[in-house]
Amino acid sequence: MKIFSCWLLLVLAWSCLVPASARAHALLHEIVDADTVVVKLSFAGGDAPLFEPYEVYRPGADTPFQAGRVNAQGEISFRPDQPGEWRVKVFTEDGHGTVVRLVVDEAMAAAVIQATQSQHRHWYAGRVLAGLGYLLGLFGIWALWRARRATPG
Amino acid sequence: MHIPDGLISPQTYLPALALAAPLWVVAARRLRARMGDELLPRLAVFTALAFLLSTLMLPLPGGTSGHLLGVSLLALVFGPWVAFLCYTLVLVLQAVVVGAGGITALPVNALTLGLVAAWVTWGGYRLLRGLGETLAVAAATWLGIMSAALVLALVLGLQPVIAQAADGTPLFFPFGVAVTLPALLVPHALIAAGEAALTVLVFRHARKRRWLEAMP
Repeated sequence: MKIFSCWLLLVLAWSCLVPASARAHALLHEIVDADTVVVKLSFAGGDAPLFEPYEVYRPGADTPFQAGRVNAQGEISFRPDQPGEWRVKVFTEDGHGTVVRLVVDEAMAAAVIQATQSQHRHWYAGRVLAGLGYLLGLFGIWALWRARRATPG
Repeated sequence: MHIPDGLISPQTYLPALALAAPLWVVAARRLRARMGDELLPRLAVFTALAFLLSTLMLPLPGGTSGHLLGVSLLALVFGPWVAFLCYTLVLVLQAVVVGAGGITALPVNALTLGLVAAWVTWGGYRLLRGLGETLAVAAATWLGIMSAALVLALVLGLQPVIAQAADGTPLFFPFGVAVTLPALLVPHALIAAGEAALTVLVFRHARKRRWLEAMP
């Protein structure tokens, strides 16, 4: 019994004295009530890039601050820890994707400053019709120009 | 199948621009030499059709979607140079107005979707027309679209090798060719089949109406 008590004391002392990293086998958690930046994504046709990989970069950094997959609502959320221009990259394996640049202020609030494909500006069918209009308009201007050149005088 | 901005490196799109720019000039000169009062409205309608086809998303097995291109039809009716030029216009409007594709990616998109697809379709048709018009048009269109998908898959898949940080992290598109080849070629095998069927239908109509500017 004496020997057992001695061993117990030794183990207790060891557990108190070893570095913290040696005790890090238990994964602990806490719920943090904090504001996050949420980027909502969708393809031009309205579908979302569900579970596609993304990377979030701190200002000026080449290695990701956060990486993961877009959630089931087509959203990416992250909590910036410094002000500046953050980048969110989303890529699909078949070559679609976007790079969203957003500026985070001192209060850690974010505003989008540039996106390679800002899909939420206008109604998609409206943009297609506008494109069609521009295209036919360009050919119409070309036809008029040709007709004017061909007219004598 | 358009590559958007931010996915390919300047080491890729700057040489592509240097290659595409003189080809656009050659194509413009050829178009100007052939331009006539009957050609212009037809060209406008077929370019508009290509624009529309490339904006209509088709659901594909596996939860993804794709779209037709319309470039093969342009190549078969007007020839590959005119198709290249008109499809570049389609890509510019797609990037600027619709938000599909991109400005920095335009030379790469134009060279693959415009030039490669058009020339492979055109060359394929000329090689295969002994088999019959319908089969030749369908096979040439399928080959044209698949060639463009193959080149795009290679361009994307090589980005992690072409542009990477000091620690080897890809700076642009992160997936290699082992991922991009199946991701692009498998769905586009279906898309190309749909495009082939549509091209055969419109090509036959164009043949009846004697609209075929490119055919001898």
